[in-house]
Amino acid sequence: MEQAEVHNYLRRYFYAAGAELLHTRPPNLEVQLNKTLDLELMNRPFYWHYLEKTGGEPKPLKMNLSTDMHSETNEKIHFGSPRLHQIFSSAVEKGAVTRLYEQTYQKNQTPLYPWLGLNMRISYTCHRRRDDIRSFGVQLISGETIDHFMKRLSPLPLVPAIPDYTFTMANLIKPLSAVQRIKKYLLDDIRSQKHTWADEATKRMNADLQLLDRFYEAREEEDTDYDSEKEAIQHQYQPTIQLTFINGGLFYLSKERGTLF
Amino acid sequence: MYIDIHFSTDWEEKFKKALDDEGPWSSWEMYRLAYEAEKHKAVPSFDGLVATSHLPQLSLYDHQWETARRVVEDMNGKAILADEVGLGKTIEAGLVLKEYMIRGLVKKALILAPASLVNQWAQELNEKFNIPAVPQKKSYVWERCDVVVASMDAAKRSPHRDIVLEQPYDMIIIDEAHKLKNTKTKNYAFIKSLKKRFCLLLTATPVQNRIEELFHLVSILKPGHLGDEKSFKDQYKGDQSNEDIQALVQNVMVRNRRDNTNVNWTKRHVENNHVKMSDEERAMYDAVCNLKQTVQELHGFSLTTLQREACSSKEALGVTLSNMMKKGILSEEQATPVVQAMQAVKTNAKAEQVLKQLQASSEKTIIFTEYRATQLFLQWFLSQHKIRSVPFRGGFKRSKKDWMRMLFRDHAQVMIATEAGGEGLNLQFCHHMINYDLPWNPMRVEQRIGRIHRLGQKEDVHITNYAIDNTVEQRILNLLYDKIAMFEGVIGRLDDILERYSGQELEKYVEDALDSDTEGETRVKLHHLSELMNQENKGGGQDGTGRSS
Repeated sequence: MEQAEVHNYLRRYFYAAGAELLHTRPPNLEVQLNKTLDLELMNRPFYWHYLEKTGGEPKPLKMNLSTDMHSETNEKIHFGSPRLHQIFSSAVEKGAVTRLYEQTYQKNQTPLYPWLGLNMRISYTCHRRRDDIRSFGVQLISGETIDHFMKRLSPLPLVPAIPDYTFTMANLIKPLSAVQRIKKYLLDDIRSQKHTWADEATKRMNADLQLLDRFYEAREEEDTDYDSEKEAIQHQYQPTIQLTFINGGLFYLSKERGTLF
Repeated sequence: MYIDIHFSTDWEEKFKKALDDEGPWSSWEMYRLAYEAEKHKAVPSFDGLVATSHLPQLSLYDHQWETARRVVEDMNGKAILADEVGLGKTIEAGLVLKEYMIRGLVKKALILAPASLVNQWAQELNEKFNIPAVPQKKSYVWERCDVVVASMDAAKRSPHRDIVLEQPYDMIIIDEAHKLKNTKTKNYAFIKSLKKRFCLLLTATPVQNRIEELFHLVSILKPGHLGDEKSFKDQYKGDQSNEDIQALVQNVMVRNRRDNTNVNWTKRHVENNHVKMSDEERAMYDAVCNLKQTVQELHGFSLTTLQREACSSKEALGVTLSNMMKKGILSEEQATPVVQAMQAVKTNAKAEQVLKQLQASSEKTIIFTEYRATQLFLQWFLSQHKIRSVPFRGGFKRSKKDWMRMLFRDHAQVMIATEAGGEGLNLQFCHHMINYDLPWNPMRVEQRIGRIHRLGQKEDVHITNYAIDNTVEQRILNLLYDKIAMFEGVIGRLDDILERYSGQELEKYVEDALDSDTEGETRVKLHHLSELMNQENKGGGQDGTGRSS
């Protein structure tokens, strides 16, 4: 993540979170936080507790950030800095679920079709790890499931309230059932794949376990560490696939089918 | 093959609640920001290091990056980091830890370091790596903090021990791991019983005396990797298997050497200062040597110890002498000539020369001595001449060590350290070193020099060795250290050399050589040793323990 990207991301985040942008020219970014953001990001529970008890006027802090690593006045921020990761987590928390409508600008009544959008991270873990970010969409009447849903959504104007001259079609598939469908689809997909990484990890695990056995077989005295060492080796290599939903929501779109995007 | 598959259901609960309550729904922009955050955080590949992209302010040497990569990719996160002193093992370990934390493979980690280094470790992990490491001071820290730095002594002691063994650590890092060479110790048993998913052992001297030490270290990391103990010992006796073992060791150990890293090292300037004893001191030294005739059971080791102490200070000699008398090794009658000679000694020729050197420059200087009594004497002696010095010993508490280091940096001209103080002390702000007396083991000399000649040292380093003419000291300096060009920092593969003395302890060899009946014999034996070392050094070829490319 380049510094310009970081700057851009932060500006968008603070704007979306309702902070007042005071100064946005790179490399600096200075914002006046609101109460919610102060509570969330500034870690000063005693101040807020005190305010609550005394009924004073809340004065949320300003945040002065800089993507210039030599800045002397502002808090330096870069891809690995704890501040950026705090903001990443905050965005994930705030952006977990949504319901949006496509703005169509039509003058005659237009139907909007219900879609479930679902983004997820698939982590392949053994003694190493790789992540895959996937994005699915399920049309909630036909059940059609399409991939790369976020990418397809990105050019569309999406608004939080139903636009004029549009009406929503009722769904046949419940959103939560669609979530289950995607889960099942993913499980089938995972089971049908070849996982060379897992084979490789299992091979290494078995080799280490064999060495361990030989080591302890040759020892005469009773040894209590054997079990914990065996467990540690299994823990080190055990192939695991972790599926985590990042966010998801309902999207009412003019598109009835995936091919229309 | 068996793969665990987990679904986390947190999000589904949130979604269900939002559907029931008709919101609240996030804006399109925040929804996208959340998705983008996860895209940025995702680790795209099993291979490579992602940590560096998180640490733009960290400048790494090639060998450090390459070491971390090898540990993660080739060694599955279990390795001995055995770089020569001063090449930045802490940085390498920090980088590996960071990599695993970013990949979500390590959440809880324990770093065990000598007490004097606990704060420094925590500070470096925080400042250089943004890893929220906490020095263990209160017992609740074990459970509440994810990354804890502690001393081995604190961790293995009750009530901590039981709590520590309960913690589900994903990674354990042990600094100065050569202290674990003895399997009979509590430390060894404690470390063995810790669950080690990923584990790094840091030491500049994986082998100090015997190849078995390496076997024990590897057994902590990967039991069975070098076979079982008996077959290892049997095998190692035959020289043929040497290369096999080196190849195996290469799979679990990274050892970078100064001469094959692209670090621009400052120079080492070495000067040997020959000291002439006063007549009284000479009489004392001779009286010690004469003990060999009067005391039948006095074996070489004790005699050399007394001789070396006589070269250091009469205070050091006095301590050992009275201990030997208490234990009945020496009778009062036998000791009398030495004691009388000691009483006549009023000055210390070596200390006076050191004083002259210190008075001639105002440079910060660290003085190393083997003996605590000498350390105390020197501190007193220097203070008589208005030179401020601070002591440093292994036995000091962590806070005291930090304090002494700071006093030395900010206020005192001199630090006087004993051998135990040698490890893990970083003194890049000082570039003058005095070896008031010399250890018998070349590895320990290298460790001393490493205190000041390490990464971050910007000045050339000046080392002055003091040796008294016509004594054991001069012999070891001339016959061994000068020959292997110890101090010029070109010792290269000393540890490999030591490995080839399978069983034979180097220190014992030197003792034996010095204890020979004739001077000629001593000369021949030490010459033989230095030739062997030089030969290995030049010949090289089979570098058993890996280097970065």
